[in-house]
Amino acid sequence: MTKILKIINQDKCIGCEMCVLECQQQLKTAGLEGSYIRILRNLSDGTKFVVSVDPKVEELNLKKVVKACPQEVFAEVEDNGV
Amino acid sequence: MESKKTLFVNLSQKTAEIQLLPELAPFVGGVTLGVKLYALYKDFDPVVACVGPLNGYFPLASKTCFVVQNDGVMEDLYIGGGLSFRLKFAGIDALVLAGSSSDDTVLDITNTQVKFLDMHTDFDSLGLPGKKSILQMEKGSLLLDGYFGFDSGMLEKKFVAKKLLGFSVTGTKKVPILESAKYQTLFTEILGQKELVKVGANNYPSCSGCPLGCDKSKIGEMGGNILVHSLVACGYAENIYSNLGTVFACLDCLEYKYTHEQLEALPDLFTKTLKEIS
Repeated sequence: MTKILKIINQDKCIGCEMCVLECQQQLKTAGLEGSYIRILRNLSDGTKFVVSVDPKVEELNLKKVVKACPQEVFAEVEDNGV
Repeated sequence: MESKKTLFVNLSQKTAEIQLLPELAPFVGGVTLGVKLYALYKDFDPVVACVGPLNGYFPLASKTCFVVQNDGVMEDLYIGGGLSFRLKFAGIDALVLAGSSSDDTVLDITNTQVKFLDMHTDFDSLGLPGKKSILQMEKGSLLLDGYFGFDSGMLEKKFVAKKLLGFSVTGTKKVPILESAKYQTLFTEILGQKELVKVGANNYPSCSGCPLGCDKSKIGEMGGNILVHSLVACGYAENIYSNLGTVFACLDCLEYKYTHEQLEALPDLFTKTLKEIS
């Protein structure tokens, strides 16, 4: 069964963008453009972040993406089609 | 070695231009580049913001260096958050904010393009999501992305004098990593040394490229190790980034052609430049 990247703890995100760096590393690139994960910041409350994931992230090694996050925001789960 | 690319913004004339300065290559970045740019443009009493060669690539290299003159003394201030990544991927090494505007101004910077906007600008509307950082005056304090700031009030004083309400920086450049395997190995090695960092892990908003989420990130830093702050790494990661072997390996991997001697000479270059200013 296909594995997907699931956001399980968005509230725990601290905006470090280690996940972005990991995705870009796997794509052999650096930068924010074209990353399969984006971290959106909230100007009115800088302690809150929104994690935006492109489904194309499944092309990557998801275990490494999960491991890159220090806050366990992500999990690699089986796609049950729901 | 590479030329340094500076985005020179003249607030008095509301103009902006890119300056490629090959003669500044030995200044590497961060504080050493910042004081040199201040020296070059001191008649404008600039605020200089600089990134370094490691920002955007290596963990714990997450600071942006601001150089200003405060009551006749040169000061170097460091802010965390995501600004260093955005400046780096805007494709610029330094942002020079020169002169003073005649009316309250907001800058909207996307890569090397600058828009001069008025005081009614809605900061939320600026830049591209995920690729922007916003530094904004709010209740007399400068706040980056709604959280990160400076503790001294020095930069706020300069922004008020320049009638600059803030700026947004969006970086959309993408850079291929040529030595990918070597880069990943080094990245992992550095991350594996995080017990050498002088702050502990926590759950506060973190700077880009730092997994620690420490309680110090909110107020930034002032002064510190010249090499570390030329790169521009976090001062709390000094035990990692003051190791010349590590630094040289990182720079080499990114194809910077600095020599050990040039890196060792940075403190002297910094001191010499300060003398030029005074």
